[in-house]
Amino acid sequence: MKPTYILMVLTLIAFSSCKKSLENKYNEINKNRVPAAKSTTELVVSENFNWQTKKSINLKLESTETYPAIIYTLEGELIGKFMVIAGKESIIPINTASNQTQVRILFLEKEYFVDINQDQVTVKLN
Amino acid sequence: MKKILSLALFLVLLSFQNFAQTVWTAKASGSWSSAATWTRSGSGGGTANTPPNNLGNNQRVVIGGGFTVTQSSNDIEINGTARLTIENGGKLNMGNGRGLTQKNISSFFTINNGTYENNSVGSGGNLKIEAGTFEWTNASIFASGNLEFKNFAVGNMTNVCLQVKQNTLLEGLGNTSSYSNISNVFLLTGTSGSGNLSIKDNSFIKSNNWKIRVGSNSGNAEILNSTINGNIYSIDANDELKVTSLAGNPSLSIYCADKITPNLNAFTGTKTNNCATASAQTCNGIPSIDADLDGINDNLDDYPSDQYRAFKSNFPNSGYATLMFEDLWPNKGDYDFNDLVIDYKYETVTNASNQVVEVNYTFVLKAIGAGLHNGFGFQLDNVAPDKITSISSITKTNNAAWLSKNTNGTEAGQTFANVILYDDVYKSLPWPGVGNMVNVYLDGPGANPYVTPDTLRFTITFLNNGTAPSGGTLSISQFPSSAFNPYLICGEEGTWNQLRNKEIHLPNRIPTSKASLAFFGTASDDSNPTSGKYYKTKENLPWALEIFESIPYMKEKVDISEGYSNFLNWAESNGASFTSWYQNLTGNRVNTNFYIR
Repeated sequence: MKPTYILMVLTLIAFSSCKKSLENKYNEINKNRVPAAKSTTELVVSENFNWQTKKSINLKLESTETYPAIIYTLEGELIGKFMVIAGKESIIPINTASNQTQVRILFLEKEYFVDINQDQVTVKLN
Repeated sequence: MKKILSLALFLVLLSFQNFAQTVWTAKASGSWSSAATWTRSGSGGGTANTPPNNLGNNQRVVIGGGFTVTQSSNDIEINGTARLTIENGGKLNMGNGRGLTQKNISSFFTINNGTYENNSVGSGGNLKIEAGTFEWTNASIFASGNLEFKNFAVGNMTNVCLQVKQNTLLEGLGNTSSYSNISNVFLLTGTSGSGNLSIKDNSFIKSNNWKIRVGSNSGNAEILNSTINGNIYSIDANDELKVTSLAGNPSLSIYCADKITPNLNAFTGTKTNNCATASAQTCNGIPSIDADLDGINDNLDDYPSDQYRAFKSNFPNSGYATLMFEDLWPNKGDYDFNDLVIDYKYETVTNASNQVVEVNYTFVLKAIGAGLHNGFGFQLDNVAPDKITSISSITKTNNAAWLSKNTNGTEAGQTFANVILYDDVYKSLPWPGVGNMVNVYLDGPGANPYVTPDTLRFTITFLNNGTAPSGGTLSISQFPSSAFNPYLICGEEGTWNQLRNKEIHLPNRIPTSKASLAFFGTASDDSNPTSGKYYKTKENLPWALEIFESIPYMKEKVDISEGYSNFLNWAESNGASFTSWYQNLTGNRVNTNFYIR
């Protein structure tokens, strides 16, 4: 056998082995993957999937002053006004669209930017 | 035909007007001269990304949303048909020595729940209304220079705190045909220690509860050649108060003046020398007026004349939310989510103690993509029925045999408060007589005429003039939006009746006391009350969706994913991506698959 043929055979064996290995790897990665749904009927989601398009948060507002807090979205939409009572935790439930990440609170002429990535957020004002 | 032409002309003019004006609206706190502060609409007044310092024809600036816009390097002028509006908690903050002048008879300066402020350390920073119109309501104004009104500028001030570091000059405010109105206004001029007040040159003013202090240490007041109808309380002229040619016979209550010229016996009112009373009047940078004495100053009080109400908040923040149901539960539907489509919003009114006073609801029944005669209602989770005083008349129920109510209007026999809005949605959004169902077919054999959506408004009263019902008060902390638990009451197959024990709720929302648990776990339903899983399939798919804004719904038999291109992507990412799938953004919607008239 000429050396060229030997080299070709070895290359084919190596290629075949490599392909097999890649196939195994591909199958390993995809064995638990659900195929992408083409319609809602085919859709499968996890039990903890949140179907809500709104975000509901409890703001715990604390201050040494009694005064109204005005809460806005970052775009300036008014969410609501509520009284903050000095020395007490004022728990205020608010809502925004689920893709909002912050709200803005105006209190005694100061503004506070508050992350809303948890169900309950404590905010110390002044 | 004439009406149609008139309407067309009106619409053309309207669109032209919108086009003809450029409006810069603050979208963030920041500098007047920064493009990041503004969003621009229209082009008739120019296409710059920031408003000019010298506003002119067809230019409007709106500062709201609680944003503060700072102009620290230039004066601002309002000329021509320009309008400056400060509203909704907005503030225009002028830098050291900078001022604002309104110069043209066609110009307009509005403040509604807003602040104009110049807290310069030095002098300068005049606020001048030299012509045109002003409307200031629930406003706080601080000028570091003079405050001046001239040339018969006309306007209204209601619930306004005016603090002027130097002099206040009302030299031609109002005119014989249009008096300027001043109501519930506190004017402190001379906060620097000394300052004068001059009302003269044929000013025409109607006043009510107008309190004036002139100079915290020294100051003269003069009212010359003017007409004032109404009253002025607490004129505190530290030095001389001079009044000549004052018409209108106002009631003056003068508490403090070293010298009054001439003798004011001709006028009604009181003249006491009580400087302590006069100097006790302040406004501390905000309108200190609390007309209803509920503890919330009027500029922050959504109900300034109602001691039992203070604030309102809206769900959603603006516009409507949309509810969309599939009604074949516990069997899977076709996922067009149009068997019942209802938009809704509500306004929660609270008092100064954060107690819920009332909730004003609006529901818009838009489509019935169902043959069943379903009903619709909602539960307020964890709110006992006796927390409610009354529910204003709901006219969309038709004495269904299964519906009985408590005296306060809630459904009888429920653990939590339930309100039934429709006992048969077809009776409020009727089949038009041809085609299939209501407002879900645009074409084909099922097509039928559009039926105008049915709007239902009503109020749930918790506190009636401050009086709680037998169950006591309800704090806002006990009333999150998640208390609102809407549900469809399933129609009975083959009849026009409803099955009161068969409800369809949003995913993971609890059923009411009237619902039968026997349906759970049957057919495609995989609800498990023990684990808190409700109204979802084994694949965790819902029978109802709630969207945070009003969105178009699907044509009959068209899967929701064919209208909302990223709906499946959102769900398959477990909510991590495509969170704006329902919004009208590029790539999100296929409008031809929606029922849009």
